[in-house]
Amino acid sequence: MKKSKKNIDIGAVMPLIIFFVITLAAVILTGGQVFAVNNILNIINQAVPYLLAGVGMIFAVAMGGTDITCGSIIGLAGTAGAYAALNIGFWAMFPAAILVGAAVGLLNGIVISKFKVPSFMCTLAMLLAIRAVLNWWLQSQVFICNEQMLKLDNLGIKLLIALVVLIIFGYIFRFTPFGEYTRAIGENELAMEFTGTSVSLVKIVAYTLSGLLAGIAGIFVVVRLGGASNTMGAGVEMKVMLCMFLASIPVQGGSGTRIYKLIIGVMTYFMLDNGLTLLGGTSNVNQLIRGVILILALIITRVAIEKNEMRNIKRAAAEN
Amino acid sequence: MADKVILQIDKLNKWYGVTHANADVDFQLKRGEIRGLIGENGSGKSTLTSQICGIQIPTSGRMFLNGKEYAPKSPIDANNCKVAMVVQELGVLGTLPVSVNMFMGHTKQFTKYGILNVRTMEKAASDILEKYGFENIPLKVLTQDLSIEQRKLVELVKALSIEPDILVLDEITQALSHDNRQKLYKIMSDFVKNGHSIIMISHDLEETLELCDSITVLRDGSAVMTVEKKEFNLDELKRVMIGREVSAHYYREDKKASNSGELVLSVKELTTDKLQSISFDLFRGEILGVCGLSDGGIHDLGRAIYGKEHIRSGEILIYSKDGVKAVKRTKDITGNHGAYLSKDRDSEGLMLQAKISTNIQIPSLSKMASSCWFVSPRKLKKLADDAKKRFEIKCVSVDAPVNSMSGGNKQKVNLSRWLIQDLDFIILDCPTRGVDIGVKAYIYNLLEKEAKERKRAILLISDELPEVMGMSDRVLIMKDGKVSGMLSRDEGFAEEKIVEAMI
Amino acid sequence: MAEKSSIKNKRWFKMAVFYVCYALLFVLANVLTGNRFFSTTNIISTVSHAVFPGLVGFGMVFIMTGGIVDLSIGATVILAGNVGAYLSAELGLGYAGLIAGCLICAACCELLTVTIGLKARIPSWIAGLGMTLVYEAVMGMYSEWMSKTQGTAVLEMGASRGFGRIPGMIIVWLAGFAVCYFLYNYTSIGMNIRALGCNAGVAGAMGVKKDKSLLIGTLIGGLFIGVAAMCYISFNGHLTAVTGMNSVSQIFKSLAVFLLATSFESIIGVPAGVLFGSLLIAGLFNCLTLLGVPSGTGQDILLGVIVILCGVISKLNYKGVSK
Repeated sequence: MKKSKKNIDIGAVMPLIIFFVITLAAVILTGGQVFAVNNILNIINQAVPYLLAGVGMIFAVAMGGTDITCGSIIGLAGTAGAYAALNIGFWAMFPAAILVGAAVGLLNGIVISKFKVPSFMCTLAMLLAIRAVLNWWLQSQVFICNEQMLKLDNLGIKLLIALVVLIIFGYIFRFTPFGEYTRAIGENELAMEFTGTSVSLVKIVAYTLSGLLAGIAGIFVVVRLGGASNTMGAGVEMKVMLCMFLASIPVQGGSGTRIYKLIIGVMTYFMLDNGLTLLGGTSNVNQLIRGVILILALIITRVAIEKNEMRNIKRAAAEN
Repeated sequence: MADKVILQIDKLNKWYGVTHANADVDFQLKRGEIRGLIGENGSGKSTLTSQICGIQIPTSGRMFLNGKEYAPKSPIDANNCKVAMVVQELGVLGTLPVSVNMFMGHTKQFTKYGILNVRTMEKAASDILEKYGFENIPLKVLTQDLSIEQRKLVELVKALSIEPDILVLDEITQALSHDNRQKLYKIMSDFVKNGHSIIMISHDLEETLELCDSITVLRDGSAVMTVEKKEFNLDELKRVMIGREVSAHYYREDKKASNSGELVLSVKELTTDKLQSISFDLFRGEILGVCGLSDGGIHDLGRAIYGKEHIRSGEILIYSKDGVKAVKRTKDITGNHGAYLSKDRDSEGLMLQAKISTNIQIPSLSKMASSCWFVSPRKLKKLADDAKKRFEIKCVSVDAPVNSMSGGNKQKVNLSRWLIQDLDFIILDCPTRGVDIGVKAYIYNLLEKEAKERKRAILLISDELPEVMGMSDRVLIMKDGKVSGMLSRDEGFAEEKIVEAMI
Repeated sequence: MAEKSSIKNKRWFKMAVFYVCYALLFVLANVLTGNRFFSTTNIISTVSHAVFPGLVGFGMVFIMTGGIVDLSIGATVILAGNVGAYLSAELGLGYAGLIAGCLICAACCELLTVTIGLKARIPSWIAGLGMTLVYEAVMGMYSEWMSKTQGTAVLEMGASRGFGRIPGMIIVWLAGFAVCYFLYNYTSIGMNIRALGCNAGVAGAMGVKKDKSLLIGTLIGGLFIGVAAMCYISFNGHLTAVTGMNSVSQIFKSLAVFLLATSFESIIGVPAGVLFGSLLIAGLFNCLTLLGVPSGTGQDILLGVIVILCGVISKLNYKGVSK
């Protein structure tokens, strides 16, 4: 009886449980509307930028840090991409957006690792500053996407790029020393410093990657909108964070941080968001519900992980 | 004479997770007595005192104070029962003024409607400091601006200020200068003359024998022996402390120093905030012991070589098959066949919540990556399993969290992750701290094999003299951040000589 | 004895250096702006802009010193200000309504946020962000309801704006400093919170009750934030609802002030640090305005940079791990 229970890790199955509960609630409350084909396609279409930004953020979260700059990076990188596409040529869009994203991420990484500023504080300040840069840029200029750019707003292309990014960064996160290091820093940063690995370098690279992926997400956001706007990407960081915590990715990072959880989390979040929209609540009601669910999800995850740990220790004590 | 017993402890047990830190401890303390607690690191001395002081709650067992049941829930509880302490777990609060620190937890006497009468409090603090002869400690500054010695004295005076019946002193003398030590001895003897009692822990055995009226020896969490002053016998106490049943193969048996003559690490005129021009060479196949008092710079030396302290001047050179390299930062050590084990295993060594396998793999990851930085999960698993087998790590599976193991096995994981690598030398800072006797013997055996059979160089830093004397080819003795002596195994290590150089 | 005088000397020396540097910065600002900075109207304007970040900063002293980072303060200010305005203008309770509404609402919101963080043991900054979403949404719903019933999104304060005018708000600011200084240095709750911020483990062992002390601190901090909200809405006339976490940027100046103040701790102490810090930040932005840097864009960029710089300064000699 005890043996069979042994291998169940609550932290690993929790995201699935939350996903099914929320999906079930959405299905029942909307009378199955969420499962209409068009609606599902719509959900996927919306979800791609969030997934991309989330894959970037996961490197920071694994280290026990956080990166909430991505909303503003999406805005700035998207605008930079549009500017490059209109003034230099269509293909310049990608390097422009990616470089802008990576540069902001690099700056974050340096401030956080070299000067020991808490990551949420640094990225929060950066969120504001980058948004102001965007405002300043868009004061005098207007960018409207041309036809070639609008072609990118296509579900097939989006899914393809999302898949490629997911595979590449999933690989980096799971199978390379760098990925292991980010999780190990989340477990015990001091111990990591004592293994001779440069924690600063790992942090800088992680935040740079996070910025870079937010830059890619920016491309999709700008083509979907059809032009640059100064509210572009606003609030994405909170929603991505919500996706992660909904899927039991631990706040303190460490080995419980997994990409598959993020994917489930993004699906869960959009199921929730879509359900709320179909139910016809105002944006304020939805924001209220999102806030409450964020906190509930955190509490549930913590309780589940703690129980699991207690059980592990008790079992080990019994075996001794 | 039952009325003379002030503190009585019956069958006290304390478990930390899976570690049995105190096992069925029975203990009696008489009025007017200074009792010394001795034992090796991890023998449960501090666990015992912290339960008496209410910092830890016993898992089972009972305590009686003056014949009445005594179960303190917190240090404040203990204070209210007239038990006060100066222990390592309780420091001072750096961002508060000294006077507040003195009365933290007892500020009620100066408080009216939540308002603190700072003037009367400062007056009281200065009165007490004067009473014990420490009037040169400033009162109004933030405690973080005091020297370490002054902070310890503030703690001492704070403890004395409640006029306790029992005073617990855990490793206080180390931090004090000669003059203040004499003052402390005077305070202690006055204190017990009034019929109060003291429990003290000190690393300095001589000091303990000198000061105490009786001594209790702890080993592996149990109180194994208590002796009165007239029966003190240093050799006997040491034998009981270490539990020499396993003595035949405990330390090295040979009496000759040896090394292969090949230089691996050379430290030249190393100077940091705490170290003054330290120079020595480390040769392949030797164990170089470093001993001294804990604050004599021995731990700082290891950290400085490993690139964790700011180096003011001097250099550290590594001689490996790839040539000579100067060490500037930690990576230069780990990248050149070197390693370091911190004395603080749980915070600077292991990732406690993570899997055993992860802990073993982390230092080797960058060396295992093939093309595209790929690290094969299969190879990683094999690495962990091999380490488990080779170092006889006792665990259900390498996927279990490190936290589920005992201290000894944790230390085996900590050692194994480095020793599986292609090492030339390793710096070990107190490698047997907090491990049980079985693993201790295992580690000694392992160190001998690593040095003599695999021809690795080991820098063994330890504040336990027997360990250093038992294992080293040469011993470097440190005092106040300077080298105060170097002895070779050939001459035979005379303990008096070492101690003389240390203090 | 030698040691005693050297420490004292050092402190006096540090303080002297601090005040001289501080004065020099303002002189520099005056030179840069071509003597416009020290004109009477400009000085008054600078001081009045220091009031809000300063008061929020005093509140942060009691909330954040104990180790809690609450980001919901911005949303709390907006909500509390509007509750005060509603009681004052709509229900006609005048000053009494304004004071009661702001103070009670702010204290309740802060207590709720911190309680959730403490009891559920989730990181306080995330609890703060979650509650920011909630408070903003509540404010948004109030706004919607007002639009439907009154035709305007938020109430405009007509009378009872004395706390936003010149003598009133400066008196409140200085009184806030006096209260903050007293509570921080001369009460047991101040000591307990400082002890917790220094080392929660040691403080707990010395008999400081962690949750209770933090909650009392939060209550005090919440009242300060209520006062700040009161001055803020009186000064502005109205506070519009914002969504999507934009309220967090409302407290960025205060955050910078508080971070600066903590790095002045061993020189002039935290409460005085907040007082001087708020004037410094207000002066800086005033100087920027005089130099023609536009608000909303250029100034916001600098604000972000300044928060980061203040974070850097406050961690300059910090050796531990920060996430």
